[in-house]
Amino acid sequence: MPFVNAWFLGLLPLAALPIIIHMIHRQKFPILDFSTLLFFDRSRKYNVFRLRLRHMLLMILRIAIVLLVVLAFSRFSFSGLGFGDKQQGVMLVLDGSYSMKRAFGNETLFEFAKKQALSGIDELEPGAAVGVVVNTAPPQVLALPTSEHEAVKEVIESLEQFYGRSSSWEAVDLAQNALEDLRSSSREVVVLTDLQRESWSGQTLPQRESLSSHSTIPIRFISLRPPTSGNVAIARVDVQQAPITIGRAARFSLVIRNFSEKPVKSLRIMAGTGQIEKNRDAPGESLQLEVPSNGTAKVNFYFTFSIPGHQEIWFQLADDALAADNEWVETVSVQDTLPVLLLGSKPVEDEKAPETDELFYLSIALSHAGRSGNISLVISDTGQLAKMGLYGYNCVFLASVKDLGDKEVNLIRQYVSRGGGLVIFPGQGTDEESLTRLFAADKSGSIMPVNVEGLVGESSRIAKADFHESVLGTSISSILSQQLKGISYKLHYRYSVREDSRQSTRTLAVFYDGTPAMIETRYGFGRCVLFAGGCGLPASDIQFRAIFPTLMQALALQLAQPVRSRSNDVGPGEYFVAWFEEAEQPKKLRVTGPGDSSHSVEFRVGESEYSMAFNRTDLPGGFQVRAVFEEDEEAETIVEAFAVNTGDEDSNLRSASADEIKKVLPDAVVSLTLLNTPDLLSELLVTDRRELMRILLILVLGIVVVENILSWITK
Amino acid sequence: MPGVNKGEIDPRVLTTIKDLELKARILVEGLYIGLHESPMYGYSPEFVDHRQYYHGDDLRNLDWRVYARTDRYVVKRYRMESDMRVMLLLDTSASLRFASGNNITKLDYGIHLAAALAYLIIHQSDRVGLTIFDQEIRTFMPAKGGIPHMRQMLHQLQSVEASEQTGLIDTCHEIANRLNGRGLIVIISDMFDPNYEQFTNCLSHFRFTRHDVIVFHLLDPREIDFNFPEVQNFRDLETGEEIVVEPATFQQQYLQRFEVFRSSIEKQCLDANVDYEMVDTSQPLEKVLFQYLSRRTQIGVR
Repeated sequence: MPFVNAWFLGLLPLAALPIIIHMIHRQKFPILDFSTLLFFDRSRKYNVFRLRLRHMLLMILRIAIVLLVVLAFSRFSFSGLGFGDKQQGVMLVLDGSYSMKRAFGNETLFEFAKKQALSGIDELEPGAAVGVVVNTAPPQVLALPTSEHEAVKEVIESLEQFYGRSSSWEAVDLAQNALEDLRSSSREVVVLTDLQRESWSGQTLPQRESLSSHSTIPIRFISLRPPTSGNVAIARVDVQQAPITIGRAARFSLVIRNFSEKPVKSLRIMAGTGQIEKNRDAPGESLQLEVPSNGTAKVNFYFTFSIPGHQEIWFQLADDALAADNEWVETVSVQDTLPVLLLGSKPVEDEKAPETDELFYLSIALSHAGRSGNISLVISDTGQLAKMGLYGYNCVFLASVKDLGDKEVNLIRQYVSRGGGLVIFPGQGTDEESLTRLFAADKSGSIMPVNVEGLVGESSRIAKADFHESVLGTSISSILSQQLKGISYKLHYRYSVREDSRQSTRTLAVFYDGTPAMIETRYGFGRCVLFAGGCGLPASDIQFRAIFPTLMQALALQLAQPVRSRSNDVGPGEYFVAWFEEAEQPKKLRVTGPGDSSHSVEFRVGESEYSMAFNRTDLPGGFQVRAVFEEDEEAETIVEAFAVNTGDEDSNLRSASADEIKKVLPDAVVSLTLLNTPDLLSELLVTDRRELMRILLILVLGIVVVENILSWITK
Repeated sequence: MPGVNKGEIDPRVLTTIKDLELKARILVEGLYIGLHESPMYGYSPEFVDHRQYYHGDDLRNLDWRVYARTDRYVVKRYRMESDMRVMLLLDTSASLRFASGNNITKLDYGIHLAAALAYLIIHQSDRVGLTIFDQEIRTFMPAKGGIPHMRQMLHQLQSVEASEQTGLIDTCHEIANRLNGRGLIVIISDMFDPNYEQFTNCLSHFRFTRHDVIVFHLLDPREIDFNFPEVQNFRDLETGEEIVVEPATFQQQYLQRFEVFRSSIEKQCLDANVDYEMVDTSQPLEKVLFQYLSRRTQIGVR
């Protein structure tokens, strides 16, 4: 028998008050010295019988009054009564994850859930409170419990299918929180869901404490289970690390997961460029693949682009139980050439000498690479750094470190933190002061968290090199990396990696004495690679090795890609944020997306940052950020592109059982109703639990009247 | 004096006067004012009626005028010429301590009544005695005349305290045995004797000894109407017994029983040709005396 205000039961001992008062008063009849008791009836005690009877009746009535008042205000209720008031509060939780796009009869699960919710609300009695939570990531309260049923129905009717995953228990928690403040005797959370095991079985249950705190509110699951099971999804697409340039094949690795117990043979995969909506029927690539049961398959697609700019690439699997996870769109920025800046300075005294410095060898190496790699090399003096800026280049090679003041260092730091690549050769003319200043730490860390321990004049050879876990990854094979072994430095700097550094720092090559010869680190969104010495004569012979041009080309290409790609990192409902340079402030911004949708976007001007944020990413597909600049108000330039994809987080269609649900919250009152056919449940939200507060109070009033009449009659 | 001019004195006023003689005088003088037209001047000997002459009768009593008119010998009968002896019987049992509200106790009322009567009788040159009793006789003063005797008697009355149970019946029998010769017995009591139904025997006893009897039945107004507002623990003043009673529910039954008791006493008095006067202690004493004496005068002295 639930009580809405159970704490009121603590007042039940007050029922003893009438007894105590009667006990006290029983002993307090005033003594009257009377002349004689000759006429009194001593034998039958008749004189006090009626009195005691009256007192007893009054006491019982007063105890009843206290008990009934306590019961009434504790909001006592129970089911099975044909009378009493219904004080109902229901929170509907509609599963909005993309797995609800499965077909259920002639409609999707989500549409059926909406219809079922509307039907349930229609059956509610006037005055019953109903609210809605949509189970997305994160979940949202669309309507707090209210008796305005029509308004809630409108909210449900306007609800669109979400393409993201669900936050199931978080949604239930929200619903229970919303009901917590509702002083109702019959509160219930009704969840309309496909009850996916991965979402509901509670392996990693967030806010478990919060959920347990209101375990008194029952949770009823309506599990919608269409007769479909097997599902294959595109888990993710990995785009090659190196920037994509025109004329060179770009690699797209497709990761496919099979969530069924049976292997999928001859899974047809189609891929193409351009908008998926318009090109589904004309795929550029198509192949068939076998995916093992409950397993993953990876397949590479190569696309060669002939036009620079933002390009969309799409992938599609053959139809299965759930279509929402069968498509994937990727946007890439195709560049005609990769701008690389080579900064250095020729020693003044050696102006007429043969070209033996770092600038010379590096320019040859990168130019050689540029013939096949579309590298556009710009060579400049270090002293021009502050004047020319770095934002036009994907990667910067610092051939010698000299004349770096605070301004130059700050410029380099800002450039790297925003995704630029930096390769440092402390070659000829390098001054230790500039080197130390460049490696100094600020609040974001250090561009290269090492201490410069001095110049070493003895010959040192590289003992070992390993690029396996570095940014170079597979672009330098392990066999090739072995060519670095034995490279000799006659002059180089000795470094020690700071122990307190929390940055991701990796030593790629070491000398025989164990000191680092090549170090890689991350700083912000960019990366840096530091060599122990220069690449000119007489400091080193690295420039004469066959690996040198390959290594320099790989560094230029791999460091050019920012650590975090902005285009591939947006999930449904998430924000897409892009930063702009001061020089490229647009006059207007808009984002176009799937279905030719178009949304104006505000260009945000901060203290030192220029950005835009876009969150209308409800539908999956490719989006383009289009800008109009003051120079040409009629032309619209695509400045950014990104894609929204569902992923495979909600693709496992296996359902959780009632036991699995109950294991999550053992203290909660959980019930489960299976619905295998698309037939609406009647009386979904109707409760037979009734509250007796009003009846009890009327009863109390009646007893008070009876008590007064009794007092008056027996006075 | 307070209340004298109106002929009525509030019993409560009497209690403020300490001198009982003064109280008695006030009462009786007030009474005289009320009775000044009355032909009754006490119990002096006088002609009563005629009877047939028998041999041996005193010839001085032969009414010659009647013989002259009717030729029959009749003798005149006179009341005894000796002065009247009055014995006041004052009940001082504990039940007379009861007084409701602002009323005085029945004992105080009885004392005042006795004092007033004693004063009246002495000033009529008659003799008066006093018996104070509860379960037994506590004080017995034979009937005498004279102011000193009266003062002694009033002194006794002033020192009376109520206690013990009532032994009315036994006391009456004992007094009837003690007194010789004709006289007047005045019983002042609330009559709350468990054996009150045997009171008729006492009266017969008194009549047998040729005593005239007057019964002043002292009752407090609450004893008459039993009008108490709330539940009380009634404690018997004589026995100490306690009973919790809700008056509202018990009143009717009490009144019936009380009426049976009172009418029984009255009937026994009437049957024995005895004057019965129920006295409500809330009423002024001289009014009670006046009404009783007026009625007695109208009826005629027996």
